[in-house]
Amino acid sequence: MNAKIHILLIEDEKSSCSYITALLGKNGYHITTAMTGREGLSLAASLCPDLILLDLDLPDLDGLKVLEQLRVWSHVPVIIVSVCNEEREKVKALDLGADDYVTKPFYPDELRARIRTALRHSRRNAPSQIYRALNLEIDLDKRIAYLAGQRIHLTQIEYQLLSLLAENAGRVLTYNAMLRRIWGPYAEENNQILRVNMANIRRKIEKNPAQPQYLFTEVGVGYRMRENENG
Amino acid sequence: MRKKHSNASQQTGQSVHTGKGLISALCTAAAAGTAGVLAFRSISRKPKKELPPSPETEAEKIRENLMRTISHDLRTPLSGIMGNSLLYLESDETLDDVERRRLVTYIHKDSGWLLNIVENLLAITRIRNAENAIGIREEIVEEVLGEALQKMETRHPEFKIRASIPDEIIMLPMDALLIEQVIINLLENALLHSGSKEPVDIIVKDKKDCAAFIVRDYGQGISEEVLGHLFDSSPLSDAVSDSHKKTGIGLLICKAIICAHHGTLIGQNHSLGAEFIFTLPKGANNLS
Repeated sequence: MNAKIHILLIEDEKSSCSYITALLGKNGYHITTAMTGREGLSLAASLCPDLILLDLDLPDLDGLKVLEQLRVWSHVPVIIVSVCNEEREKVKALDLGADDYVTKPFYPDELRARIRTALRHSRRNAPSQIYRALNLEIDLDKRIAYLAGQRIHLTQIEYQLLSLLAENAGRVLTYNAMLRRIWGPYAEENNQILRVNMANIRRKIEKNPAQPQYLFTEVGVGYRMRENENG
Repeated sequence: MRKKHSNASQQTGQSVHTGKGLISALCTAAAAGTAGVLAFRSISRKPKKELPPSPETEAEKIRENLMRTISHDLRTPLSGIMGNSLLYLESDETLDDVERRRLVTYIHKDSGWLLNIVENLLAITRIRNAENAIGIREEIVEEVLGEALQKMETRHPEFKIRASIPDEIIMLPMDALLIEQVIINLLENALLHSGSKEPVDIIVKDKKDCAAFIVRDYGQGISEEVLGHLFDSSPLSDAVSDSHKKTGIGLLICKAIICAHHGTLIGQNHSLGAEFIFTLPKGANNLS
């Protein structure tokens, strides 16, 4: 048994497998590959990997079905790696419990960052109490945010949104997930209020809201906050 | 939303030769509600009038033209990828490291170009599939722009872009991914053809009943011969410079997308370079 982080790659395209294996192997991860959904599910149970990379387009099972079945018994972080770039597909996967979504073709850094973030969130027992990135600092205990040392004045809802994103820094949160967390289970489906609040926060913390450094939009899916440097 | 389709194509008439240009044909077909592979979605219902002479032959012509453009556009980077990778495989031992690296760099660049074309093709299916207006939502302009700029940053980290938007939050009804594609295409067009390393500006202006997006570069400008055929299909653009072909499908798709949104798109020169301007009409609840 070695101490390497073990990643299960469920993917049937040989060239993708070779690329991902080489890419992650270089970073010291140990990779096991499953070429079908069923093999993936059985390896997930027998190997207990630290993380799963799941392609949605598998020969035997729909990738989303694999995710669903996996989530019945496992909390292992799952990152979807798919050629499909439809927002609906992404939202579906995320709402079914995927931790993140990377569209093929992707840049090496993109996949590495997503894996790092997913592993960090899965390993952590107590979430970090300080978010820090570039000039932004959020003290999640005291519920105060600073930009370049200056306190930022946020409304209650704005602070709640910002801290929710900061706690999940680096990870995409869907509109629905955010609406439910902040406005409760009976929140309206309409995400306009969420998005206007986000636009207001952006105006308070970003130098240029069209070229954000902290709050990134995944159009049609949700939001992602810059990774926490204090992680 | 109030603008009629015919209006939109008239406003851009300068760069599109009615009846010849692929996109104006696309728009006519869409306005006539032509069902077929290339019936583009129109956002609001329009009165059915001014039917073109024979929509079916028109649609066929469009399809043929588009297929020709696409095959041409796909073949170019593909042949680069095939050629360079074969060369690598066949003469691996005789190549030195620099040459090997050069070959792989070409392959990488060509595949980036190919990805760009494929994304544009996907955009076409999106225009079509969204007939039922599923994709049209009120979107915050800076979010769509922000994501487009982020993608540009990943793909072309050396390419500098300055974005400026009004302070107020602007919301517009649109298919965000399609508008993102327009922004990316126009920026990549500037990157490829301005011949300048100067940062490119993208400026959003809030007008009374629409928002205008200006992509302005500070390069060599657009030559006279190209200027008249910016949004035409390949049979016409074959006549113009080789470098223009590289954008082929990109500008065509921009035009189709903006048309489907009842906006306008023009390309022109300013005193220091070239600029493309597109407008998107505001939704009913934004109009005072």
